[in-house]
Order: sequence, then C-alpha cells, then structure tokens
Amino acid sequence: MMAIKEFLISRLPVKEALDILKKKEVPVHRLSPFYYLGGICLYLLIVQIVTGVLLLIYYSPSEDQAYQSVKFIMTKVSFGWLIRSIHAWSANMLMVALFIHLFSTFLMKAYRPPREFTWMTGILMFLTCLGLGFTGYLLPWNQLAYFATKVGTEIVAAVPLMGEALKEFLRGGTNVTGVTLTRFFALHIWILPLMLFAIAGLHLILVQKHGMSRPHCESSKPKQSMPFFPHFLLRDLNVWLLVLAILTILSFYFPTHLGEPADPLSPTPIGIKPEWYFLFTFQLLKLFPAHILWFEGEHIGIIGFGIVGILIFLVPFLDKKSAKDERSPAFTIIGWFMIATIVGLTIWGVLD
Amino acid sequence: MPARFNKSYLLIDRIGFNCMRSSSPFYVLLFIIFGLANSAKTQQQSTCVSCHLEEVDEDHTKLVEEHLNGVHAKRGVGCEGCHGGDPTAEEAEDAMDEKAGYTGKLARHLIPAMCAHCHADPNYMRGFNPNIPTDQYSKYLISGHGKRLTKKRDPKVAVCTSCHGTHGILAPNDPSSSVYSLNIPNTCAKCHSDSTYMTGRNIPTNQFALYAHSVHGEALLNRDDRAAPTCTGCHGSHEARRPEPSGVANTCAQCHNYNRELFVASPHNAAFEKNNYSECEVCHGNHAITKTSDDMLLSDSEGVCQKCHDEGSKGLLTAAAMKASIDSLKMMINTANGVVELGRTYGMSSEEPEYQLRQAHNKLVQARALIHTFSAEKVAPATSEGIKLAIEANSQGQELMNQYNFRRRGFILSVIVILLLSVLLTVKIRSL
Amino acid sequence: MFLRKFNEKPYHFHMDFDLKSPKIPALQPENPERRSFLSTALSTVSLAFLGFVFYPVFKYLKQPLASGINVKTTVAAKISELPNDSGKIFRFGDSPAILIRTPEGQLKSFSAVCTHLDCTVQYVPGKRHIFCACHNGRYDLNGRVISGPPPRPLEEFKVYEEGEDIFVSKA
Repeated sequence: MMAIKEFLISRLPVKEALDILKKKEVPVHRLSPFYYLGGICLYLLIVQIVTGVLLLIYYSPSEDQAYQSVKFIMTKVSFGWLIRSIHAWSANMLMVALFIHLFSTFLMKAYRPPREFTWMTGILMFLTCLGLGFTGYLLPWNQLAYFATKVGTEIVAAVPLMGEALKEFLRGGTNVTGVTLTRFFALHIWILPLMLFAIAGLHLILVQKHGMSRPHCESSKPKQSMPFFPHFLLRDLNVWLLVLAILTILSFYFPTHLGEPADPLSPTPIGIKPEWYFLFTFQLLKLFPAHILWFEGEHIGIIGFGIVGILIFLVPFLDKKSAKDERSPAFTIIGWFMIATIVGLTIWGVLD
Repeated sequence: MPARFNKSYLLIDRIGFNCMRSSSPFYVLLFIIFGLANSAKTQQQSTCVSCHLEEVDEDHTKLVEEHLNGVHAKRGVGCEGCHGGDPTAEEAEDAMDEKAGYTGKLARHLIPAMCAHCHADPNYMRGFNPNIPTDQYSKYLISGHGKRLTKKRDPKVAVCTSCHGTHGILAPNDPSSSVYSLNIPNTCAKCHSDSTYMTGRNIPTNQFALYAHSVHGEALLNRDDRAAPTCTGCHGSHEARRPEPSGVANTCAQCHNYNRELFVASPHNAAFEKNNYSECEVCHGNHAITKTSDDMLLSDSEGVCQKCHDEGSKGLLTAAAMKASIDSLKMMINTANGVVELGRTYGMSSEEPEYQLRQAHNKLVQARALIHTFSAEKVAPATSEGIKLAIEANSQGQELMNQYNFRRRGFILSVIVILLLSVLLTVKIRSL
Repeated sequence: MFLRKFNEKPYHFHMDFDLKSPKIPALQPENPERRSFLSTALSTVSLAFLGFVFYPVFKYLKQPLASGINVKTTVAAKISELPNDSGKIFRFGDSPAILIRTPEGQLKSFSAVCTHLDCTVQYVPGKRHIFCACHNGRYDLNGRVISGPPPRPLEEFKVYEEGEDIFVSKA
C-alpha cells in the first residue's frame, strides 16, 4: 500500500496539489455562507454532466426521433424519468445558483484586484450556461420547446445590423427545423461544454491562486478563517447533500412532463414565453416602445443590454474605489438595483 | 377524337337539327363534301365564339368564356351543338339563320329533350366516353321535376341546365362543377331553400337548413367528406323525388347495411311494414339526422322508444335493459380511462391499456349497432366482452399506479438516507 | 456554523454549545467509543447513500424494458402461424394493425383503424377484401376503399421476414 502511494507521489503531481489544498483557507465572517455558492454551482454542473451523459445514451437528435426518444427515456428506461427530471431541475437550480453567485460576488466586490480575471471568466461562464440552458431546452422537441425556441430566436433578430443573419445562423435556416435541432444538440453536447470546461478550469485555478476574497465591510473586524480541508470541504459536501435532497424532492413532486410532440404547423400556443431565466430580458424588451426617434425600440433595447453587459464585464476596471480597497456605495446601489429589476421583471414575466 | 370526325357530325347536326340523323343520300353527299373540305382546313375557331367573345357585349363574353372552359367545348361540341346555326358563317344573319338550324335561346320546357338529343343516344355518346350513362332523360321523366314539367308545364321546375349550368358545364367529378358531390346540397338549395321561389308548391323549404346541421351535412359541408350522403345520395339525381316509405330503409342501407340487416331480423320489421312506417326515418329523422346518443333509448328529452311504446310495456322495458347494458359498459370504460389517464399524466407508459381501451370502445360501437335487434339478449354479448376488456385496461392502469407508488416509496427512502447522511456529517463536522 | 466565535489561531476554534456535557458521555468528542460509532455510522450510511445513487444509474444503463417505444418496427407474427388467405390483428404502437397473407401467399400489412370512425377492421377469408363491421366499409387487398363510408384508404406498412418472424414497419 505504502509502496503504491510512494510510486504515485513521486511520479504524479499529487503532493503539489495536496500542498496547495492544505494551505487553502476560507474566511469566516458574517457573509461566509455565500462562499458555498461557487461550490453549489460546481456541484450542479457535475450533476448536469452526469445526468446529461446518461440521457445522451438514449437520446436521438433528429426531428422525427427526438420526442420519441425522450418518451422512451421517460417510460421504458428504468429510472429514465428520474434522470430526466433531475437534469431539468438541476438546470433551473444551477441558473438560480449562478444568479446568486454573480450578485453576491458583485455586492461583496470580490472582483477587485487581483481578481479581475476571475470575475471576467465568471461572466463568460454565466453566458455559456445561459446558452446551454437555451440549447438544451429545444432538445425534447415538444410544443413548448419548439415555440419557446422560435420566440427566443426571433428576439435575436432584433440585434441591429446582424440580427437577421444571426437568427438564421442559430436556426440553420429561416425557420426552426430539424437542422436547428441538430446544431443546438451539437452546441449543447460539446461546443458549449468544452468552452465551459476551459473557462471553468481557468476560473478554478485563479480561485486557488488568489484565495477567497474577503469583503471590505468585514475587513475591520478580526480576521478569522478555517482550513478548506477538511473543515470547509465537509461543510461543502453537506450543502451538496442538501441540494441533492431538494433536487430529489423537486424531481418527484414536480416531474418534468413529456408535453405534446412539436407541430410546426400549429398556431403558436397562447402565452408562450422563454424559460424563466430569460424572462427579464423578454419583459424588458416588451417595455420599449415600437420606435424611439428614428430607431426601432427593440434595437435600442438590445443595444442597451449589450452595453450593460459589457459594463458588468468590465466592472473590476470601472469600480475605482473598490480597487483601492475603499467603500464603494455607488456600485452597491447599482448591484441592488439590478437585483431588484431582474427579480421584479422576472416575477412580472411569470404573471403576464 | 379526330377533328374531322367531330366536325362532320356537327355539320350533319346543323343541317338536320330537329330530326334525328337520317341517312338520306343528299346528306351523305353533303357529309362527304364537307368532311373532305374540313379535313383540308386546320382547327378553325367558330365564328360564334370569335364574335360573341369580343364584339357583342360583356354578358356574352362571360358566357363564351365559360363555354370554352366547359366539357362540351373541350370535346369539340360548339355553340351550334345546342343553339344550332352555322359556326363558319362570317355574317350574323347567315350564322344565326333559321335555315341553318339556329334556335337561339331555347324555351325552358324544351331543354331536357334538347340535351337528350345527344345524351340519350348511346351510339353517339360512346364516341366521347364508352361508359357514360345515357338514361338520364328517361329517369328525369319519372322524377318529381320531370313529372311537373310534362304534366303541369311548371315554368320554375328544374331542368338540365338548372343543376348542370348552361354554358360552363363541367364533368361531375370536377370539384368546381355545380354537381360535384360537395356542391350538390347548395345546388339543390338554390331552389329548394328559397321559399319565395317555391310558393304555391306543396313542399317545405327547410331541408337544406336541417341537413346542414345533421351528421351527414356536417361531414360533407364542413369536413369535405365525400363519403357522406348528399341530396342525390338518398333522393336520386335525375330520378329525384320523395322516397316511398318502403324505400327509405333501402336508401339508408346503402351505407348502413349492417343496421338494416339487424332491423329486418328484429320484431320491428313486421310491425313497421304493417303500419307502413318508413323504417329508419321514424327514429332517426330524414334531413335533420343528428348524432345518435344512448339517451335515444330512454330519456325524457331524446327518447324515441316512448313515442310508440307505453310506460311499463315490454318494448320500453327492453329499451331500458339495453340502455342499462350499454351504460354499464360506458361506465367501465370511463373508470378505466380515468385510471389510465392518471397514470399517463404521471409519466407512465400507457400504450397497452390504451390499446385495450380502444378494443373496449370498439365493442361499445358494436353494441350500439346491435340496438337495432331490439333485444337486450343480443346486445349483451358485445357489452359483456367490452366490459371484460375495460376491466383488463383498468387493471393495467392500476399497474401504472403501482409503478408510481414504487417510485414514491423509493423517493421517500432516498430522501431519508440523504438527510440521515447529512445529519451524521454535521455531527462529524462539529466534532472537528 | 459560521456564527460561532473563532479565536485568532487559524486551526483552532471552539464550539458555541458545550458538547462536553456530562449528561451525555457518549457524545464526548474525545470519547473513542463515540468516535468509532460516528465513523461506522458515517461509513454505513455513506454506503447506503452510494447505493441509492448508483442503483438507478446501473438500472438505467441496463437494457431497457422494451426494444423501442418509437415502434417503427415490430414483430407481427411468426411465419408459420399465418397460412394463405388469412389475416391477423396485432398491436403496433398504441393502435391495431392487420397482417394478411393473400391467397397467392403474398404478405401485406395495413393499419387496422378504419378511416371512417376508427373501428378495427378484419380480414375476410375467401372474399379477398378487408371488412369493417361497424358500417360495412370494405377495402381491397391494397387498402383502397371498395365500398361503404370510409373516406380514405388504409395506411400501408412494409412487411419483411427475418428468421422465423414477420416484421412490420412504418413505411
């Protein structure tokens, strides 16, 4: 046993990794519970990958086979219903966790130097996950999926100048067809995941390098921390267990339904809207009037989103006060304002 | 059809219009001369068409265009085929000369005979279509329309052109034709639903309205189902008239043969014949045939049996027994359906029970047909077999719910295990 | 768990509540019995947990209950069970289908759902047609309507033989 251990340790970078991990510490303060969120995101991603691979074994991404294969998984494969429901609910929980992780790090100003790249890779991962959610939603090829994708890709057409081209590129044509399905499948299965793994890898390495950021408001108090290994890790695992319990409960009481097979010739179902995590954009676009000056309202909306997105991406460089380790109430207010807007618009979108 | 042959016939027609094609030597000579002359010419548009298409007035232009679109023009029968005259003459006086056989717009009561001139001649018609019927005129003469025309000289009664049109006559299997199966009810309704037009004639004018809401009308008019009967399907087309009471059953039996077979073998047959009731019509109506329901057996609103059978009579008791039998099958199917639906909404695969339910439903359809035996004992085998199938579907549906319950137990256990592990882990954490 | 007071030393902190209560000696952190009980309990429950996680995954990966729900193809009958001039109703997906061997020995298969009002049709031996008992619809051996109320022909399926079985698949 010892010989095997010695053999591995002298050849593989096990010792170096463990050394880093053993030194890792997690700050302990009033806001420490938010440190769980990154781990929850990672855990849910792992759940997605595992359940996704399992689903991949039986799923068939062609127009006439997609719905049938999902029906097969739901009804004829042992525990297929469970795997599928977990995959769907885990996606939703992942989006919630990502939102909370994004805004908690924003409010705690964790983006300040030297963690600018950690923040930027995080934003990129967030966008990639939105893409994963959008592409995955189409794959069951039921009425809901088909029309939500149709509506969603229509919004892309509102991007000024390249909107139409972008829409046709996404759809693989003018309409949502089997071609759309196969390209969304490719995106969902490996193009976006590969991007995600690459960016996530960088994100995790940077987190290990810089350690956990301590919020400014807590800097005056005596600094306390606990070792990551085993103290925080065990707590992290505990939280993961609770998340698993919640997933199980949701999968059982609110199982994902099969729905009706997609019928492109049928009229759009009334009240069709994209998934909840897109609702705030959807609702906000609806608010814009048809024309502002000589521009189309939707174009202004999309440009607005683009600008806000870029600003959020670059916030480490914009928040000069936090960079100097000072209080930055302006950005705190901006953060709370964004949270309130997104939550409000999402609720409104749901009720609409 | 070689053009030469066509044209020669028309020439003979033109010359000897009001008499049958006689074979006197003069006409034979003329036939040869004009036939040879014609063969030298290429297809020449008739002067009737060229003048009336452009130079007369708009109404005539429309008529000529319709004619050119119709089946007669396409087979080489021109204006002179019905109106007479000379289609080669340049001047109107020559073309529309009585000596050339011109008859102009024919009086209405002469139209059937005029059409029959060709259409009742099998020798002539087989040159155009070997299978075309040539008995329309003789049928027309025995029809309600024909009789009124010949006996009463009724100026408003339908003649050939009333239904088929005048100039743009299309083949009956052309969907634009006024006598295409889907268009027939509207064609008949043109007169028969017009109460002003039909005043003084002892006939109701609500048939189309009733038919349009009937099962047959909805199938034909709303769903374009050509298998559904039109007016002509039951009344006949050229021989159209009110069906005799004894003929009604045979009319319905064209499609509903099985029901009629059962009826004829039942006690109702003798009773209906004795009283000269028209079989199917008494219970189902004629134009306003609505969707049947089991309530027709026994209910205050829709019951038909109680129209004849008194309270407590054997007939009404049989009706009640049949209804009870069918109701029990329906109830079993509904119960099974509910269970299977529940299983399906919970995500279970419900194909097998759905298949069984379909079979059970087939038995219900059969049982409903068997009502026409008017015997509860004969209805019973179908309902009992149907009930057996529904029970099996029900138990298969229960199986789905059992699967669901297995999942629920698994779920509760797994949540307990997860929470237990979490508790233990918490204790371990605190012990650090 | 974070709301306890931690002192300055990073690797050492106290608990808020006192686990050293004499009333529950078994819960002493230093108590070796408690420690081993905790370890055993943890290991056992962890194993149970892993079992609950991996059991569904293994069952999922195993051969599923049926060869396919898409049911584009199914085994209709054995070659030997269908003599000339006979027909058989079988289940194809969720609806009935009919398999016929004509008097000349040719195999044909159609949907058995009558296009009139969905009753199940049947083969009539000796008469070379398919019959629907509900309203006397008749179809020829190509599925086309001969007489009666059906508005459309029967959907035809492909038939092929393999080994001992007759397979029917959607065209």
